[in-house]
Amino acid sequence: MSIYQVGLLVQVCINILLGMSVYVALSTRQLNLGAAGFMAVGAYTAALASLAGIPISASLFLGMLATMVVGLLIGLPALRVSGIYLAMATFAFGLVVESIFLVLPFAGQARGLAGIPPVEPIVVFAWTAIALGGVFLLTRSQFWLRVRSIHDDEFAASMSGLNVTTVKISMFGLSGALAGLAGGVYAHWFVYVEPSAFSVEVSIFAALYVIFGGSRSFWGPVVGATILTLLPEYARGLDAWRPAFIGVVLLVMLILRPSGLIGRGTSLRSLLARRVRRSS
Amino acid sequence: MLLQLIVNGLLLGGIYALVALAFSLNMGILGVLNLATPQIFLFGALVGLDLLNGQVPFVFVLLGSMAIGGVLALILELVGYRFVDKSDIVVTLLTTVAFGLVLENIAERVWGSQAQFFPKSDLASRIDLGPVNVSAVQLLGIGLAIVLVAGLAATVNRTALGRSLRAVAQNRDAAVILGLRVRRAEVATFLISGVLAGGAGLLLGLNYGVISLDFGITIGISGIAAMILGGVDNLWGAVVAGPLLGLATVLGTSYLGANYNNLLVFGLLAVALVVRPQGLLGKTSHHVYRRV
Repeated sequence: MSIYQVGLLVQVCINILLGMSVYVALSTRQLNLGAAGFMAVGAYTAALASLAGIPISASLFLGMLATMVVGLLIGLPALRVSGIYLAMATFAFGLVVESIFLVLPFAGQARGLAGIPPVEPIVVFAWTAIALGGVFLLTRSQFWLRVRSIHDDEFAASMSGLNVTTVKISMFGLSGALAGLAGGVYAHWFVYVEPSAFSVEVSIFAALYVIFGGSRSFWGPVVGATILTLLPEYARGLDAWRPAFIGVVLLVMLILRPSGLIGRGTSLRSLLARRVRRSS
Repeated sequence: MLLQLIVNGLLLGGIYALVALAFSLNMGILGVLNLATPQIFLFGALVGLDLLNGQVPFVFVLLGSMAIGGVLALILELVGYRFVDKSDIVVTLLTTVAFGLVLENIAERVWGSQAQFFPKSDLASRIDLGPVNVSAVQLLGIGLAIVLVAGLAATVNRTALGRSLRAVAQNRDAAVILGLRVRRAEVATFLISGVLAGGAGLLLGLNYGVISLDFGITIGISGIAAMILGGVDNLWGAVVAGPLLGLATVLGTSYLGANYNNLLVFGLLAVALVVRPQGLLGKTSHHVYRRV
Protein backbone atom coordinates (compact mmCIF):
# COMPACT_ATOMS: atom_id res chain seq x y z
CA MET A 1 0.00 0.00 0.00
CA SER A 2 1.30 3.45 -0.81
CA ILE A 3 1.68 6.15 1.80
CA TYR A 4 -1.25 7.93 0.19
CA GLN A 5 -3.53 4.94 0.61
CA VAL A 6 -2.46 4.41 4.21
CA GLY A 7 -3.14 8.08 4.91
CA LEU A 8 -6.57 7.74 3.36
CA LEU A 9 -7.30 4.70 5.52
CA VAL A 10 -6.26 6.57 8.66
CA GLN A 11 -8.56 9.41 7.63
CA VAL A 12 -11.35 6.85 7.20
CA CYS A 13 -10.62 5.53 10.72
CA ILE A 14 -10.75 9.04 12.21
CA ASN A 15 -14.03 9.78 10.46
CA ILE A 16 -15.58 6.45 11.44
CA LEU A 17 -14.74 7.20 15.08
CA LEU A 18 -16.31 10.66 14.71
CA GLY A 19 -19.39 9.17 13.07
CA MET A 20 -19.62 6.59 15.84
CA SER A 21 -19.42 9.40 18.39
CA VAL A 22 -22.48 11.07 16.86
CA TYR A 23 -24.21 7.70 16.43
CA VAL A 24 -24.09 6.62 20.07
CA ALA A 25 -25.47 9.97 21.27
CA LEU A 26 -28.12 9.98 18.55
CA SER A 27 -29.18 6.50 19.68
CA THR A 28 -30.81 8.22 22.63
CA ARG A 29 -32.13 11.01 20.38
CA GLN A 30 -29.39 13.43 21.37
CA LEU A 31 -27.98 15.12 18.28
CA ASN A 32 -24.38 16.06 19.01
CA LEU A 33 -23.24 18.85 16.70
CA GLY A 34 -20.12 19.45 18.78
CA ALA A 35 -18.06 16.39 17.85
CA ALA A 36 -15.20 18.66 16.75
CA GLY A 37 -15.13 20.15 20.24
CA PHE A 38 -14.71 16.71 21.82
CA MET A 39 -12.19 15.84 19.16
CA ALA A 40 -10.18 18.96 20.03
CA VAL A 41 -10.13 18.05 23.73
CA GLY A 42 -8.86 14.55 22.91
CA ALA A 43 -6.33 15.83 20.40
CA TYR A 44 -4.84 18.44 22.72
CA THR A 45 -4.80 16.17 25.76
CA ALA A 46 -3.09 13.36 23.86
CA ALA A 47 -0.68 15.76 22.16
CA LEU A 48 0.32 17.45 25.41
CA ALA A 49 0.74 14.07 27.10
CA SER A 50 2.95 12.79 24.28
CA LEU A 51 4.98 15.96 24.30
CA ALA A 52 5.52 15.38 28.03
CA GLY A 53 7.09 12.03 27.19
CA ILE A 54 4.21 9.62 27.78
CA PRO A 55 4.03 6.68 25.27
CA ILE A 56 1.61 7.23 22.41
CA SER A 57 -0.93 4.55 23.28
CA ALA A 58 -1.09 5.79 26.85
CA SER A 59 -1.56 9.34 25.54
CA LEU A 60 -4.39 8.22 23.28
CA PHE A 61 -6.02 6.57 26.26
CA LEU A 62 -5.55 9.69 28.38
CA GLY A 63 -7.08 11.82 25.64
CA MET A 64 -10.03 9.46 25.46
CA LEU A 65 -10.47 9.50 29.22
CA ALA A 66 -10.33 13.30 29.44
CA THR A 67 -12.87 13.66 26.66
CA MET A 68 -15.15 11.12 28.26
CA VAL A 69 -15.16 13.21 31.43
CA VAL A 70 -15.96 16.31 29.36
CA GLY A 71 -18.71 14.33 27.63
CA LEU A 72 -20.24 13.33 30.97
CA LEU A 73 -20.04 16.93 32.17
CA ILE A 74 -21.74 18.16 28.99
CA GLY A 75 -24.30 15.38 29.15
CA LEU A 76 -25.62 16.64 32.46
CA PRO A 77 -26.78 20.14 31.41
CA ALA A 78 -27.69 18.70 28.00
CA LEU A 79 -30.58 16.91 29.71
CA ARG A 80 -32.27 20.27 30.12
CA VAL A 81 -32.65 20.79 26.42
CA SER A 82 -33.64 18.41 23.65
CA GLY A 83 -34.12 18.19 19.92
CA ILE A 84 -32.86 21.05 17.85
CA TYR A 85 -32.04 23.04 20.99
CA LEU A 86 -29.66 20.36 22.14
CA ALA A 87 -28.14 20.35 18.67
CA MET A 88 -27.56 24.10 18.91
CA ALA A 89 -26.19 23.83 22.46
CA THR A 90 -23.63 21.24 21.39
CA PHE A 91 -22.91 23.36 18.31
CA ALA A 92 -22.13 26.26 20.65
CA PHE A 93 -20.05 23.92 22.83
CA GLY A 94 -17.90 23.00 19.82
CA LEU A 95 -17.30 26.66 19.07
CA VAL A 96 -16.47 27.41 22.70
CA VAL A 97 -13.86 24.64 22.77
CA GLU A 98 -12.34 25.87 19.51
CA SER A 99 -12.07 29.38 20.92
CA ILE A 100 -10.75 28.17 24.30
CA PHE A 101 -7.81 26.46 22.59
CA LEU A 102 -7.25 29.69 20.69
CA VAL A 103 -6.46 31.50 23.96
CA LEU A 104 -5.06 28.78 26.27
CA PRO A 105 -1.43 29.81 26.91
CA PHE A 106 0.04 26.26 27.20
CA ALA A 107 -1.74 24.98 24.07
CA GLY A 108 0.17 27.14 21.61
CA GLN A 109 -2.86 29.37 20.89
CA ALA A 110 -3.30 30.12 17.17
CA ARG A 111 0.17 28.76 16.38
CA GLY A 112 -0.94 25.32 17.50
CA LEU A 113 1.16 22.47 18.86
CA ALA A 114 3.94 21.09 16.66
CA GLY A 115 6.45 18.28 17.05
CA ILE A 116 3.96 15.69 18.29
CA PRO A 117 5.52 12.19 17.99
CA PRO A 118 4.10 10.35 14.94
CA VAL A 119 2.02 7.21 15.35
CA GLU A 120 2.41 3.95 13.42
CA PRO A 121 -0.58 3.23 11.13
CA ILE A 122 -1.01 -0.21 12.67
CA VAL A 123 -1.54 1.42 16.09
CA VAL A 124 -4.27 3.60 14.59
CA PHE A 125 -6.00 0.59 13.05
CA ALA A 126 -5.70 -1.39 16.27
CA TRP A 127 -7.22 1.39 18.37
CA THR A 128 -10.01 1.92 15.88
CA ALA A 129 -10.74 -1.81 15.82
CA ILE A 130 -10.80 -1.99 19.62
CA ALA A 131 -13.13 1.02 19.88
CA LEU A 132 -15.45 -0.26 17.15
CA GLY A 133 -15.44 -3.73 18.67
CA GLY A 134 -16.39 -2.23 22.01
CA VAL A 135 -19.28 -0.29 20.55
CA PHE A 136 -20.37 -3.32 18.51
CA LEU A 137 -20.52 -5.50 21.62
CA LEU A 138 -22.42 -2.74 23.38
CA THR A 139 -25.03 -2.63 20.62
CA ARG A 140 -25.52 -6.37 21.02
CA SER A 141 -25.80 -6.13 24.80
CA GLN A 142 -28.81 -5.95 27.05
CA PHE A 143 -27.89 -2.35 27.86
CA TRP A 144 -28.59 -1.39 24.25
CA LEU A 145 -32.23 -2.40 24.71
CA ARG A 146 -32.53 0.45 27.19
CA VAL A 147 -30.89 2.79 24.72
CA ARG A 148 -33.34 1.73 22.04
CA SER A 149 -36.32 2.06 24.29
CA ILE A 150 -35.28 5.66 25.05
CA HIS A 151 -34.91 6.32 21.36
CA ASP A 152 -38.34 4.94 20.59
CA ASP A 153 -40.21 6.57 23.45
CA GLU A 154 -38.34 8.29 26.24
CA PHE A 155 -41.45 8.90 28.30
CA ALA A 156 -42.63 5.31 28.13
CA ALA A 157 -39.12 4.13 28.98
CA SER A 158 -39.00 6.29 32.09
CA MET A 159 -42.49 5.13 33.08
CA SER A 160 -41.28 1.54 32.86
CA GLY A 161 -38.80 2.30 35.59
CA LEU A 162 -35.80 2.83 33.37
CA ASN A 163 -33.26 5.36 34.63
CA VAL A 164 -33.28 7.52 31.52
CA THR A 165 -30.89 10.08 32.98
CA THR A 166 -27.96 7.73 33.56
CA VAL A 167 -28.36 6.08 30.17
CA LYS A 168 -28.46 9.40 28.33
CA ILE A 169 -25.49 10.83 30.23
CA SER A 170 -23.40 7.70 29.77
CA MET A 171 -24.10 7.77 26.03
CA PHE A 172 -22.80 11.33 25.99
CA GLY A 173 -19.70 10.18 27.85
CA LEU A 174 -19.20 7.42 25.28
CA SER A 175 -19.78 9.91 22.49
CA GLY A 176 -17.06 12.09 24.01
CA ALA A 177 -14.63 9.19 24.42
CA LEU A 178 -14.98 8.12 20.77
CA ALA A 179 -14.50 11.65 19.43
CA GLY A 180 -11.59 12.08 21.86
CA LEU A 181 -9.91 8.99 20.45
CA ALA A 182 -10.46 10.37 16.94
CA GLY A 183 -8.78 13.58 18.08
CA GLY A 184 -5.82 11.77 19.63
CA VAL A 185 -5.29 9.76 16.45
CA TYR A 186 -5.59 12.94 14.39
CA ALA A 187 -2.96 14.74 16.50
CA HIS A 188 -0.44 11.90 16.27
CA TRP A 189 -1.01 11.22 12.60
CA PHE A 190 -0.70 14.81 11.42
CA VAL A 191 1.88 15.55 14.21
CA TYR A 192 0.43 19.05 14.42
CA VAL A 193 -2.78 20.48 15.90
CA GLU A 194 -4.26 23.96 15.69
CA PRO A 195 -7.68 25.20 16.82
CA SER A 196 -8.97 25.76 13.28
CA ALA A 197 -8.61 22.02 12.56
CA PHE A 198 -11.64 21.49 14.81
CA SER A 199 -14.12 23.81 13.13
CA VAL A 200 -17.90 23.45 12.93
CA GLU A 201 -17.61 21.79 9.52
CA VAL A 202 -15.94 18.78 11.17
CA SER A 203 -18.89 18.44 13.55
CA ILE A 204 -21.44 18.80 10.78
CA PHE A 205 -19.69 16.23 8.62
CA ALA A 206 -19.61 13.81 11.56
CA ALA A 207 -23.40 14.09 11.70
CA LEU A 208 -23.61 13.70 7.92
CA TYR A 209 -21.71 10.38 8.05
CA VAL A 210 -24.32 8.98 10.40
CA ILE A 211 -27.36 10.21 8.54
CA PHE A 212 -25.90 9.16 5.20
CA GLY A 213 -25.01 5.67 6.38
CA GLY A 214 -28.03 5.16 8.60
CA SER A 215 -28.57 6.26 12.16
CA ARG A 216 -30.32 3.12 13.39
CA SER A 217 -27.61 0.57 12.74
CA PHE A 218 -24.06 0.10 13.99
CA TRP A 219 -22.88 -0.27 10.38
CA GLY A 220 -24.52 2.99 9.33
CA PRO A 221 -21.80 5.38 10.54
CA VAL A 222 -19.08 2.94 9.41
CA VAL A 223 -20.44 2.80 5.87
CA GLY A 224 -21.35 6.50 5.81
CA ALA A 225 -17.95 7.71 6.99
CA THR A 226 -16.12 5.37 4.61
CA ILE A 227 -18.12 6.39 1.55
CA LEU A 228 -18.12 10.11 2.29
CA THR A 229 -14.37 10.08 2.98
CA LEU A 230 -13.46 8.09 -0.12
CA LEU A 231 -16.02 9.63 -2.48
CA PRO A 232 -14.18 12.98 -2.84
CA GLU A 233 -10.95 11.09 -3.55
CA TYR A 234 -12.51 9.07 -6.32
CA ALA A 235 -14.36 12.10 -7.67
CA ARG A 236 -11.12 13.84 -8.57
CA GLY A 237 -12.24 14.00 -12.18
CA LEU A 238 -14.81 16.55 -11.07
CA ASP A 239 -11.97 18.66 -9.80
CA ALA A 240 -13.31 22.01 -8.70
CA TRP A 241 -16.90 20.85 -8.46
CA ARG A 242 -16.32 18.23 -5.76
CA PRO A 243 -18.09 20.01 -2.87
CA ALA A 244 -21.14 20.60 -5.05
CA PHE A 245 -21.09 16.95 -6.12
CA ILE A 246 -21.04 15.83 -2.49
CA GLY A 247 -23.85 18.27 -1.73
CA VAL A 248 -26.01 16.91 -4.55
CA VAL A 249 -25.35 13.29 -3.56
CA LEU A 250 -26.39 14.13 0.01
CA LEU A 251 -29.53 15.97 -1.08
CA VAL A 252 -30.64 13.09 -3.29
CA MET A 253 -29.90 10.64 -0.51
CA LEU A 254 -31.76 12.66 2.14
CA ILE A 255 -34.82 13.00 -0.11
CA LEU A 256 -34.95 9.41 -1.37
CA ARG A 257 -33.82 7.54 1.74
CA PRO A 258 -33.78 9.77 4.83
CA SER A 259 -33.17 6.78 7.09
CA GLY A 260 -29.72 6.30 5.54
CA LEU A 261 -28.21 3.56 3.41
CA ILE A 262 -28.47 0.94 6.12
CA GLY A 263 -31.68 0.63 8.09
CA ARG A 264 -32.15 -1.00 11.47
CA GLY A 265 -33.31 -4.28 10.10
CA THR A 266 -32.35 -5.12 6.56
CA SER A 267 -34.34 -8.34 6.50
CA LEU A 268 -37.41 -8.47 4.32
CA ARG A 269 -39.71 -9.06 7.27
CA SER A 270 -38.71 -5.92 9.11
CA LEU A 271 -38.97 -3.91 5.89
CA LEU A 272 -42.52 -5.14 5.40
CA ALA A 273 -43.35 -4.44 9.02
CA ARG A 274 -42.18 -0.86 8.58
CA ARG A 275 -44.37 -0.43 5.49
CA VAL A 276 -47.40 -1.66 7.36
CA ARG A 277 -46.74 0.60 10.31
CA ARG A 278 -46.36 3.65 8.08
CA SER A 279 -49.58 3.01 6.22
CA SER A 280 -51.64 2.40 9.35
CA MET B 1 -13.47 55.92 22.75
CA LEU B 2 -15.79 53.79 24.88
CA LEU B 3 -18.82 55.73 23.66
CA GLN B 4 -17.72 55.21 20.05
CA LEU B 5 -17.29 51.47 20.65
CA ILE B 6 -20.74 51.23 22.19
CA VAL B 7 -22.29 53.00 19.21
CA ASN B 8 -20.38 50.78 16.76
CA GLY B 9 -21.46 47.66 18.62
CA LEU B 10 -25.11 48.63 18.74
CA LEU B 11 -25.17 49.51 15.04
CA LEU B 12 -23.38 46.30 14.02
CA GLY B 13 -26.04 44.59 16.08
CA GLY B 14 -28.69 45.98 13.75
CA ILE B 15 -27.28 43.83 10.97
CA TYR B 16 -26.91 40.84 13.31
CA ALA B 17 -30.56 41.27 14.10
CA LEU B 18 -31.44 40.89 10.41
CA VAL B 19 -29.39 37.69 10.17
CA ALA B 20 -30.93 36.40 13.38
CA LEU B 21 -34.40 37.09 11.97
CA ALA B 22 -33.59 35.14 8.82
CA PHE B 23 -32.70 32.17 11.01
CA SER B 24 -35.51 32.53 13.51
CA LEU B 25 -38.30 32.66 10.93
CA ASN B 26 -37.36 29.24 9.59
CA MET B 27 -36.68 27.97 13.06
CA GLY B 28 -39.69 29.40 14.87
CA ILE B 29 -42.30 28.65 12.22
CA LEU B 30 -41.01 25.50 10.54
CA GLY B 31 -38.55 24.14 13.11
CA VAL B 32 -35.81 24.14 10.48
CA LEU B 33 -32.36 25.38 11.39
CA ASN B 34 -31.34 26.64 7.97
CA LEU B 35 -27.57 26.25 7.80
CA ALA B 36 -27.53 27.38 4.16
CA THR B 37 -28.30 30.90 5.38
CA PRO B 38 -24.59 31.89 5.47
CA GLN B 39 -24.26 30.98 1.82
CA ILE B 40 -27.45 32.81 0.85
CA PHE B 41 -25.98 35.70 2.73
CA LEU B 42 -22.73 35.41 0.74
CA PHE B 43 -24.67 35.47 -2.53
CA GLY B 44 -26.52 38.60 -1.41
CA ALA B 45 -23.20 40.33 -0.80
CA LEU B 46 -21.56 39.10 -4.02
CA VAL B 47 -24.47 39.96 -6.29
CA GLY B 48 -24.77 43.32 -4.54
CA LEU B 49 -21.10 43.98 -5.17
CA ASP B 50 -21.48 43.20 -8.88
CA LEU B 51 -24.46 45.53 -9.10
CA LEU B 52 -22.57 48.28 -7.24
CA ASN B 53 -19.68 47.94 -9.68
CA GLY B 54 -22.21 48.22 -12.50
CA GLN B 55 -23.16 51.72 -11.26
CA VAL B 56 -26.71 50.65 -10.41
CA PRO B 57 -28.55 53.03 -8.01
CA PHE B 58 -28.28 51.80 -4.43
CA VAL B 59 -31.98 51.10 -4.00
CA PHE B 60 -31.83 48.62 -6.85
CA VAL B 61 -28.63 47.10 -5.53
CA LEU B 62 -30.40 46.38 -2.24
CA LEU B 63 -33.42 45.01 -4.07
CA GLY B 64 -31.15 42.84 -6.21
CA SER B 65 -29.41 41.36 -3.16
CA MET B 66 -32.74 40.67 -1.53
CA ALA B 67 -34.09 39.12 -4.72
CA ILE B 68 -31.18 36.69 -5.12
CA GLY B 69 -31.57 35.74 -1.45
CA GLY B 70 -35.26 35.11 -1.94
CA VAL B 71 -34.76 33.06 -5.10
CA LEU B 72 -32.10 30.86 -3.48
CA ALA B 73 -34.30 30.30 -0.45
CA LEU B 74 -37.16 29.24 -2.74
CA ILE B 75 -34.88 26.76 -4.51
CA LEU B 76 -33.83 25.44 -1.10
CA GLU B 77 -37.49 25.05 -0.14
CA LEU B 78 -38.03 23.03 -3.31
CA VAL B 79 -35.02 20.72 -3.13
CA GLY B 80 -34.32 20.62 0.58
CA TYR B 81 -37.66 20.91 2.34
CA ARG B 82 -40.75 20.14 0.30
CA PHE B 83 -40.06 16.48 -0.36
CA VAL B 84 -38.10 15.49 2.72
CA ASP B 85 -39.17 13.89 5.96
CA LYS B 86 -40.06 16.89 8.11
CA SER B 87 -40.66 14.90 11.28
CA ASP B 88 -36.92 14.40 11.73
CA ILE B 89 -35.11 17.61 12.62
CA VAL B 90 -31.77 16.11 11.63
CA VAL B 91 -32.86 15.49 8.05
CA THR B 92 -34.02 19.04 7.32
CA LEU B 93 -30.93 20.38 9.09
CA LEU B 94 -28.65 18.36 6.85
CA THR B 95 -30.47 19.11 3.59
CA THR B 96 -29.72 22.78 4.27
CA VAL B 97 -26.07 21.89 4.91
CA ALA B 98 -25.92 19.99 1.62
CA PHE B 99 -27.54 22.88 -0.24
CA GLY B 100 -25.04 25.25 1.38
CA LEU B 101 -22.16 23.10 0.09
CA VAL B 102 -23.50 23.41 -3.45
CA LEU B 103 -24.02 27.18 -3.14
CA GLU B 104 -20.56 27.82 -1.76
CA ASN B 105 -19.01 25.80 -4.54
CA ILE B 106 -20.95 27.79 -7.14
CA ALA B 107 -19.89 31.06 -5.52
CA GLU B 108 -16.26 29.93 -5.59
CA ARG B 109 -16.45 29.01 -9.28
CA VAL B 110 -18.25 32.18 -10.34
CA TRP B 111 -16.54 34.81 -8.20
CA GLY B 112 -13.24 33.10 -7.35
CA SER B 113 -11.95 32.18 -3.93
CA GLN B 114 -10.04 35.38 -3.17
CA ALA B 115 -11.46 38.17 -1.02
CA GLN B 116 -13.34 40.90 -2.87
CA PHE B 117 -13.36 44.56 -1.99
CA PHE B 118 -16.28 46.91 -2.13
CA PRO B 119 -15.73 50.16 -4.03
CA LYS B 120 -15.33 53.29 -1.95
CA SER B 121 -18.73 54.87 -1.72
CA ASP B 122 -20.42 57.71 0.09
CA LEU B 123 -22.24 55.12 2.16
CA ALA B 124 -19.09 54.18 4.06
CA SER B 125 -18.15 57.77 4.90
CA ARG B 126 -18.44 58.78 8.53
CA ILE B 127 -20.97 61.29 9.78
CA ASP B 128 -19.99 63.28 12.89
CA LEU B 129 -22.55 63.28 15.67
CA GLY B 130 -20.90 65.23 18.48
CA PRO B 131 -18.53 62.91 20.38
CA VAL B 132 -19.12 59.92 18.11
CA ASN B 133 -19.32 59.30 14.40
CA VAL B 134 -21.33 56.77 12.47
CA SER B 135 -21.32 55.61 8.86
CA ALA B 136 -24.35 55.77 6.59
CA VAL B 137 -24.20 51.99 6.19
CA GLN B 138 -24.48 51.49 9.92
CA LEU B 139 -27.47 53.79 10.11
CA LEU B 140 -29.00 52.08 7.11
CA GLY B 141 -28.50 48.69 8.73
CA ILE B 142 -30.20 49.53 11.96
CA GLY B 143 -32.93 51.51 10.17
CA LEU B 144 -33.65 48.68 7.79
CA ALA B 145 -33.66 46.19 10.65
CA ILE B 146 -36.27 48.21 12.51
CA VAL B 147 -38.44 48.73 9.42
CA LEU B 148 -38.27 45.08 8.41
CA VAL B 149 -39.03 43.77 11.88
CA ALA B 150 -41.93 46.17 12.24
CA GLY B 151 -43.21 45.07 8.83
CA LEU B 152 -42.81 41.44 9.74
CA ALA B 153 -44.49 41.87 13.10
CA ALA B 154 -47.42 43.59 11.41
CA THR B 155 -47.63 40.82 8.82
CA VAL B 156 -47.47 38.04 11.37
CA ASN B 157 -49.92 39.64 13.79
CA ARG B 158 -52.43 41.34 11.50
CA THR B 159 -52.74 39.59 8.15
CA ALA B 160 -54.29 36.34 7.00
CA LEU B 161 -50.87 35.10 5.89
CA GLY B 162 -49.51 35.87 9.35
CA ARG B 163 -52.35 33.96 10.94
CA SER B 164 -51.52 30.89 8.89
CA LEU B 165 -47.84 31.30 9.73
CA ARG B 166 -48.66 31.33 13.42
CA ALA B 167 -50.95 28.35 12.99
CA VAL B 168 -48.21 26.34 11.27
CA ALA B 169 -45.78 27.33 14.00
CA GLN B 170 -48.16 26.12 16.69
CA ASN B 171 -49.17 22.84 15.14
CA ARG B 172 -48.54 21.99 11.52
CA ASP B 173 -50.73 18.90 11.49
CA ALA B 174 -53.69 20.72 12.96
CA ALA B 175 -53.22 23.51 10.43
CA VAL B 176 -53.30 20.99 7.59
CA ILE B 177 -56.46 19.35 8.95
CA LEU B 178 -58.18 22.70 9.33
CA GLY B 179 -57.58 23.34 5.65
CA LEU B 180 -55.13 26.19 6.03
CA ARG B 181 -52.87 26.78 3.09
CA VAL B 182 -49.83 25.38 4.86
CA ARG B 183 -47.78 25.08 1.68
CA ARG B 184 -48.20 28.79 1.00
CA ALA B 185 -47.13 29.63 4.56
CA GLU B 186 -44.05 27.44 4.25
CA VAL B 187 -42.99 28.94 0.94
CA ALA B 188 -43.58 32.44 2.35
CA THR B 189 -41.39 31.66 5.36
CA PHE B 190 -38.50 30.55 3.20
CA LEU B 191 -38.96 33.51 0.86
CA ILE B 192 -39.00 36.14 3.62
CA SER B 193 -36.00 34.69 5.44
CA GLY B 194 -34.08 34.45 2.17
CA VAL B 195 -34.85 38.08 1.35
CA LEU B 196 -33.67 39.12 4.82
CA ALA B 197 -30.45 37.11 4.51
CA GLY B 198 -29.68 38.53 1.07
CA GLY B 199 -30.19 42.11 2.23
CA ALA B 200 -28.17 41.56 5.41
CA GLY B 201 -25.33 40.13 3.31
CA LEU B 202 -25.08 43.31 1.26
CA LEU B 203 -25.20 45.55 4.34
CA LEU B 204 -22.48 43.59 6.11
CA GLY B 205 -20.32 43.59 3.01
CA LEU B 206 -20.65 47.36 2.83
CA ASN B 207 -19.95 47.65 6.53
CA TYR B 208 -16.73 45.63 6.41
CA GLY B 209 -15.75 46.73 2.91
CA VAL B 210 -14.54 43.24 2.03
CA ILE B 211 -16.07 39.79 1.54
CA SER B 212 -14.48 36.35 1.36
CA LEU B 213 -16.06 32.91 0.96
CA ASP B 214 -16.05 32.16 4.68
CA PHE B 215 -17.52 35.55 5.48
CA GLY B 216 -21.03 34.19 5.70
CA ILE B 217 -20.18 31.47 8.19
CA THR B 218 -18.73 33.69 10.92
CA ILE B 219 -21.65 36.08 10.69
CA GLY B 220 -24.09 33.21 10.35
CA ILE B 221 -22.89 31.72 13.61
CA SER B 222 -23.32 35.10 15.31
CA GLY B 223 -26.79 35.23 13.79
CA ILE B 224 -27.67 31.85 15.30
CA ALA B 225 -26.32 33.06 18.63
CA ALA B 226 -28.47 36.20 18.41
CA MET B 227 -31.52 34.15 17.47
CA ILE B 228 -31.17 31.82 20.45
CA LEU B 229 -30.34 34.64 22.85
CA GLY B 230 -33.40 36.58 21.74
CA GLY B 231 -35.76 33.64 21.78
CA VAL B 232 -36.84 31.77 18.69
CA ASP B 233 -40.54 32.40 18.99
CA ASN B 234 -40.34 36.14 19.42
CA LEU B 235 -39.55 38.41 16.46
CA TRP B 236 -38.49 41.27 18.70
CA GLY B 237 -36.07 39.01 20.53
CA ALA B 238 -33.69 39.25 17.59
CA VAL B 239 -33.87 43.05 17.74
CA VAL B 240 -32.84 43.02 21.39
CA ALA B 241 -30.24 40.25 21.17
CA GLY B 242 -28.62 41.47 17.93
CA PRO B 243 -27.33 44.77 19.34
CA LEU B 244 -26.43 43.04 22.62
CA LEU B 245 -24.28 40.59 20.73
CA GLY B 246 -22.85 43.34 18.54
CA LEU B 247 -21.89 45.20 21.69
CA ALA B 248 -20.24 42.11 23.20
CA THR B 249 -18.36 41.50 19.95
CA VAL B 250 -17.03 45.03 19.59
CA LEU B 251 -16.13 45.48 23.26
CA GLY B 252 -14.61 42.00 23.49
CA THR B 253 -12.48 42.55 20.42
CA SER B 254 -11.21 45.92 21.62
CA TYR B 255 -10.48 45.09 25.23
CA LEU B 256 -9.62 41.37 25.20
CA GLY B 257 -8.40 40.84 21.63
CA ALA B 258 -9.98 39.14 18.64
CA ASN B 259 -9.12 35.67 19.94
CA TYR B 260 -11.37 36.11 22.95
CA ASN B 261 -14.24 37.35 20.85
CA ASN B 262 -15.68 33.94 19.95
CA LEU B 263 -15.14 32.62 23.44
CA LEU B 264 -17.17 35.51 24.82
CA VAL B 265 -20.01 35.24 22.31
CA PHE B 266 -20.39 31.46 22.37
CA GLY B 267 -19.71 31.13 26.05
CA LEU B 268 -22.59 33.55 26.55
CA LEU B 269 -24.70 31.50 24.17
CA ALA B 270 -23.89 28.14 25.75
CA VAL B 271 -24.73 29.47 29.19
CA ALA B 272 -27.93 31.07 27.91
CA LEU B 273 -29.01 27.83 26.24
CA VAL B 274 -28.67 25.84 29.40
CA VAL B 275 -30.05 28.43 31.82
CA ARG B 276 -32.76 29.88 29.64
CA PRO B 277 -33.20 27.83 26.46
CA GLN B 278 -36.24 29.83 25.44
CA GLY B 279 -34.15 32.99 25.07
CA LEU B 280 -34.37 36.41 26.66
CA LEU B 281 -37.79 37.29 25.27
CA GLY B 282 -39.02 33.77 24.66
CA LYS B 283 -42.16 32.41 26.24
CA THR B 284 -42.28 29.72 28.90
CA SER B 285 -39.97 26.77 28.47
CA HIS B 286 -42.98 24.53 27.96
CA HIS B 287 -43.48 26.31 24.68
CA VAL B 288 -39.97 25.51 23.57
CA TYR B 289 -40.21 21.80 24.24
CA ARG B 290 -43.41 21.62 22.24
CA ARG B 291 -41.59 21.29 18.96
CA VAL B 292 -39.22 18.57 20.04
